[in-house]
Amino acid sequence: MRRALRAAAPWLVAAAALVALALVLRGYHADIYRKMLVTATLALSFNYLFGVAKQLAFSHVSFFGLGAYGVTILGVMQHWPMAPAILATLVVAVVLSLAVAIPTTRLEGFYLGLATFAVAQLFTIALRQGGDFTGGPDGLHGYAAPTLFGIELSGRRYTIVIIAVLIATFAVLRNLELSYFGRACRAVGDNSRAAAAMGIDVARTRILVFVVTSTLAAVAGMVYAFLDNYVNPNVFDFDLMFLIFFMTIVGGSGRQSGVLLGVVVLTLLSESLSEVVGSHSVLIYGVIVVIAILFWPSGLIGLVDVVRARLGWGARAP
Amino acid sequence: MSAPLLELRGLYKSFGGLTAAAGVDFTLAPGEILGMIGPNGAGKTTVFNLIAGTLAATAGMIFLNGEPILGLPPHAVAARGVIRTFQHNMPFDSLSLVDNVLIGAHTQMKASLPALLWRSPRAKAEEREQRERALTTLEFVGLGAARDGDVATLSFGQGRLLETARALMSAPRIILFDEPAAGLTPPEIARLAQIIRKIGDSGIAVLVVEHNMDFLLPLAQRVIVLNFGRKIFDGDPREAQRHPGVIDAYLGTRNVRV
Repeated sequence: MRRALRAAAPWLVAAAALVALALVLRGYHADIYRKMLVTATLALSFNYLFGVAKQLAFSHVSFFGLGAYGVTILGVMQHWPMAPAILATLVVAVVLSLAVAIPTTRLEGFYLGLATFAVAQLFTIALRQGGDFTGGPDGLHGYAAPTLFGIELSGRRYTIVIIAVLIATFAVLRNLELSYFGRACRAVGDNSRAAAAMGIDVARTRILVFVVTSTLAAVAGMVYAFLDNYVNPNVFDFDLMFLIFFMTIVGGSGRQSGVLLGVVVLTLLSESLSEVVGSHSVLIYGVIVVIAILFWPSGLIGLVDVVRARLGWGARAP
Repeated sequence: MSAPLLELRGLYKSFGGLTAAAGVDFTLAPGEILGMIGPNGAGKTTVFNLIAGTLAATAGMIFLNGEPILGLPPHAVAARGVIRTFQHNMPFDSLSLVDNVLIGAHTQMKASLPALLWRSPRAKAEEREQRERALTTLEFVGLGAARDGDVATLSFGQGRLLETARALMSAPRIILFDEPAAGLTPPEIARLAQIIRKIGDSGIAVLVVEHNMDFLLPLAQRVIVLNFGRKIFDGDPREAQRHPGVIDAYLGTRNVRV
């Protein structure tokens, strides 16, 4: 019992801190905070795909959009109850990610990037041309927040839902990373020939990674749908894709703590920059990413490691 | 004479006009240490790759315990207990040393993906069990002291031991060594020979492709000699050194040291 409590302690502390912030922040800052939490949820699954398994796939935001649109179309526009709407959206995400993964994950590096780039392009075109079904270029908006046991999940109550999904995503990906499957993912990313020689089914591993992470992106998308009760094709375009890509690289690709650091730092940076340079913050990101790749290939978390080692704070965190 | 664990029958492989293997047959028994030698281009690597599944044969059959394995992809061959090592060490740089060894246990893991996602007690127990095995295996190959190190800092010889440990983790029936002594210092070679002998004693069959005769001839219980894709000798290593065909094709002199 005491051991279980000790194992749960860091999780409880993290959850309490996140909830405390949700209670303290108000108005505009609360909005930024919620958006950052959803972005972190999305970036975590992208990190597993790109940082751990080394698959460069630009379709990640498309699955994020699929989740958002799926749950809105079924749960709001078609008036399905929330539970079956969520379940059906999950099934669609799994089926579509399999359909994308089976042909594309045979490709490596640059070519996988190109193929998934085309998928992402197609997705936003479909959203814009979807007529009443997707709301076309304007998207869907003005719908009500979901309810759970008669309680409307809006405002701070919804922030708690976001925090719960973020922590669950973090936990699931961490468990996966520490398992034999996680080792196989890294081995395939490092050297697929040597991995196959050790009995690892390379194609199966790549497909599974793609499906699991894309489905988690769809889960984050479902959460996004009720953030502002507004979904729009522009949200799921390449701006967001590059944003989570940059956050992963700047923070420290392949490490969860690194990605979270990247999300926080780039969100705060964009907020302070947007007052100065307006909407050109993506340009500034670009410069920062170049600097990060050149000078800190292991990301900000690598710098944290160096500082910790200097101060003698022991081994690096996972 | 026990039933062969591995049997190659009429293995034939041509690359365009070049015949790399022209009807190679041989068998391998459990616990046997078999050497494969021959001049460069004799077809040793081709035969090796045909067994491991990285090359498809033009004709012929390979049986593992009577079951045909030719045509299976490399990971399926490995999953059936036929594990190869590479001539150039191939560590996984983004994994720790112990995790590199644990990769070898991949085919031993039974937990399902959903069980891994929520880290079921069974998945945890299995992981703990294999981690202990990995530490024991590192001790066995003599890398126990280096276990907390980084794979990038291992010497070439230590890298070879790591590959051997990784192969052993898969509970193999056969290990295929591709020039294991190449690039090693004499003490490292002696240590490796000792390890391979122990592996054979434990009942695992070993096939060693090697150019270093000082290493191979005392180690192998039997050797086969390939030349131009054909088997020209199959038998006792001491006889191979006196066999005129072998001397002409490969050894080159009648005064070979053993």
